[in-house]
Amino acid sequence: MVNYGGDEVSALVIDVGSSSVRAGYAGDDTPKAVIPTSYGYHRAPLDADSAMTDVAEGAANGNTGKIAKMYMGQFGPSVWREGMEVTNPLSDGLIHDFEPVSALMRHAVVDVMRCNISEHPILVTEPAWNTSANRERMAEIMFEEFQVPAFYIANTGVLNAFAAGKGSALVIDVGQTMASVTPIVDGFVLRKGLVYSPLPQLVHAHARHTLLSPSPLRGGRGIDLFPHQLIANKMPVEANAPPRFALREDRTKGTTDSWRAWYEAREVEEWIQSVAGVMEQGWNEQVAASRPPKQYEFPTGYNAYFASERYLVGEQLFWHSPQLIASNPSVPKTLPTLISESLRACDPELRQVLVGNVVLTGGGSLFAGFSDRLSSELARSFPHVKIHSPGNPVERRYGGWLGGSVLGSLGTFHQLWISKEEWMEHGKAIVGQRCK
Amino acid sequence: MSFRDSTVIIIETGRTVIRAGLGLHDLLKTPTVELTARVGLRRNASMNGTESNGNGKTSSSQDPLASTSRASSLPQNGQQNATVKDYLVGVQLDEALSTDSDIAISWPFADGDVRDWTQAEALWKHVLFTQLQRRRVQNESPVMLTLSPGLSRDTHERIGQIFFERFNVAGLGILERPVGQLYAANSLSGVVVDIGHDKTDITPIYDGFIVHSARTSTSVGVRDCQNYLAYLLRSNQSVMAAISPPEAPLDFETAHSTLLELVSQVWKAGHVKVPSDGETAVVEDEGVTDIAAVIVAGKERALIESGMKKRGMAKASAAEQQRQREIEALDLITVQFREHSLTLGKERHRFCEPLFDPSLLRGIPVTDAMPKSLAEMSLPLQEAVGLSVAQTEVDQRQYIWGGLFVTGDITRHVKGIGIALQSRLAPFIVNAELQTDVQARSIKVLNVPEYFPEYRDTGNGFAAFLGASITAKITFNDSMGKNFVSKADYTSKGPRSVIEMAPALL
Repeated sequence: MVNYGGDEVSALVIDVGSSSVRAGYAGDDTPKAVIPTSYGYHRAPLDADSAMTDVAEGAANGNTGKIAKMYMGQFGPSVWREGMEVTNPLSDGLIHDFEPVSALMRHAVVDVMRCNISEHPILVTEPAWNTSANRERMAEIMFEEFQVPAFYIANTGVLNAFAAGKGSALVIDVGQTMASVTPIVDGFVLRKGLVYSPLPQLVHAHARHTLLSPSPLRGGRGIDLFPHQLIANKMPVEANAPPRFALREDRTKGTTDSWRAWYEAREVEEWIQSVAGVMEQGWNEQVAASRPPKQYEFPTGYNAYFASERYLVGEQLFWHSPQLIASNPSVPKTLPTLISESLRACDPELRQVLVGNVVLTGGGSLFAGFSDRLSSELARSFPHVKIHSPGNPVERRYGGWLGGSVLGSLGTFHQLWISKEEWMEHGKAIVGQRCK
Repeated sequence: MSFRDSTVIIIETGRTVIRAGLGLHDLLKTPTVELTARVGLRRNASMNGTESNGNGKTSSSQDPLASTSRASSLPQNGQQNATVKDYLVGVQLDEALSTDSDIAISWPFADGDVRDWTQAEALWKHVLFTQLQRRRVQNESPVMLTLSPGLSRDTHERIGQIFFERFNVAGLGILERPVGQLYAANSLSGVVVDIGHDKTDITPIYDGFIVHSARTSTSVGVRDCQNYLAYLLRSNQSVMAAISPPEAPLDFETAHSTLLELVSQVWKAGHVKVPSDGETAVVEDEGVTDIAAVIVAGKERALIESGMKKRGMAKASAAEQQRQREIEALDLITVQFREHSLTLGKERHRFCEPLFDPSLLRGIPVTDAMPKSLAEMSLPLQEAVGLSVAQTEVDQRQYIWGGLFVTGDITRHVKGIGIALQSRLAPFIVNAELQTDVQARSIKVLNVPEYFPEYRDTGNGFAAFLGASITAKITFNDSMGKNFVSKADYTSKGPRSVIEMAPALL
């Protein structure tokens, strides 16, 4: 392709998160490809001889030789396949298994965006607590495997601040597995103020527990979280009545536990997105009880009204009962604790600048009432709080990608790219030098 | 800058068929050109005589995502050194095929992408200059082109290059097919189910934008329906006796292709109905009420004649009526096929079954294209649609379910697939009495509205063309001209202008 002048280098931006991999052109306002980070796979049979040879595109032949076939993309893990396992190559926001990640990135760019990956400079994001071994490995994949002409790795905290149009900000990022608070000053992370915890996992576990555990409200039984694909038919039932549905017998045998667990998590996630909320002014039993309950139907046809319990889910982000903390000292810290810890580590004169430029981002922050609650929590300690929280779910969810898109399309950014020649000359050391 | 309506050209490029028309009329017309989207290349004409790379490249059975990938199983025979002139297109190709079997057929658009640029150019060129009689040197026509969704920027630029530099068009607008199809149904949000020859594309659209991450394709299509019905007809003794008489039996292959021809004649004549799973009744044919539109469309004659026929029937003798009723009870039809007059029963209505249950095709000897293992089975239509919509954002879904639109050639002749699909999608929808503002409580089936009289008899089959016509009308009459590329834009900015014009790309 010929470039027709200007700053246009058609850079690509790839943002690998715990829930999804986002990829798109720098300068766009939404990522072109959004695929789940989880992927399905079939293990090769022990006497793997022929099965290993017919792996086609997208199939990874792992070093261990265990994975025979990978199923990636929106219709990878989400489609029922006999004996398919599902796993996620990230833990606590960091990549621990690069083999599938490179396959996922290739899938997003080559199969979904239909681009030739070796023709575009690529900007990749990393969480603030990424290890230097990890980023060097990423650079290696880009240059050695994908043969990209240029590469840069940028911090999601910084990018989220850029997406909000700010150079200095306190970025509060609530993702699928990790919540982090990152102070950004003039485009750089203030390392000492960086705090993070696996809080969203606790929230998810709480929601799951709420649904699955037997409750007197639901006739002393828990809710079955079967996905649509395991259900043959269902009948409409009254609220709280036991569901009348039939499972697909042909599928129960070939269903793996990891696929069930992945789908169960997805059903919980959808329930959270549909009904859960956060109390704007702090927890208050009476106010919570006075809010109208919301009805929700599960794939089995079971439906129920959820009243105050739907607010308890979001409450986990802000407040833990003393009993919980006593019973489990290693429970993840709440958001207010994280924020005050982060600010305490910053210089006093910076604190006011930061709380005046709070950027709220991440898919986990999409609870109704979240930013109001955050604002009221912060207002207790600081006089002038200003929270930037995009109302558009795409901007909130893909803030890191969006910042990368902004950065990658700036004319002045182009001098920062690590070019292939530089990589050949300096090797891994250049990554740490250039990307600060 | 705007164009005269009479010069506007619509080219609707589908996977297996291209439809085109010249001029926008007050009542939007159906396409005048219909071209099978295939090209042929004489094998002996190839210069170095090497065999083409065959169909190994596109064989979908090796694809790990067989059930959802877009790759079609139709053949593709690319040849590096072939030029546009070498390819046989349209009538030329049909004639050549009838006399000479040594022709390599290719379907350049079958994958929902452009497989071969020379072949694509040959097809578009044939439409523009042979069928629509445009002249290259003095081409005043802007073109509205429809394409499969999700093509890369390079593809768009290349298309701009071909149309401006090779065809010298006055303007170019590009529309993604599903968007056009949904426009034709007068909606901005919905899920478009486009049943093609061997692939069915499912595209959820929210507020005028395709939800690209939720788009999918499943490997069932009209071809499977035809194979299935042909297979069923094998057990119909009267049919088999006629086409393959015991004194001169046809071999298996020939008998099958003859049956396929019969099947295709039957469904195209509108003799097939879709059982709607018993849950939702098929909407009754209400007769024609909008007389004005019919008269404007010049259909009054046909209407009066059909009315006369009905009256004539009423006068028929009682005995005949008795026989009529019997035939109706058994649901028999008689079709003229070649020299034979064949009687078909209810089995013909099973035509569409494979769409909803592709496992029926297993064990049918003629469908060699089907993957062998259960894991790679194509998804049934209802499951693929349900999954696809489940990939969209939670709060978009109720709007997307509010517009289920089934289109594709099959809907021109077979009515009620939308309703049949709707009833099978019930598991994905919550109880209608549920008090929710998030979850979808109902599915609405869309159709091309009645106020397009020209399209009244075509079902939803021409939706993409109709949508493209509507878009062209708005786009090319816009004096600001933001949604298409004019020749002047292209000259000053180059192929990049094509990307800047397309809202879907940015």
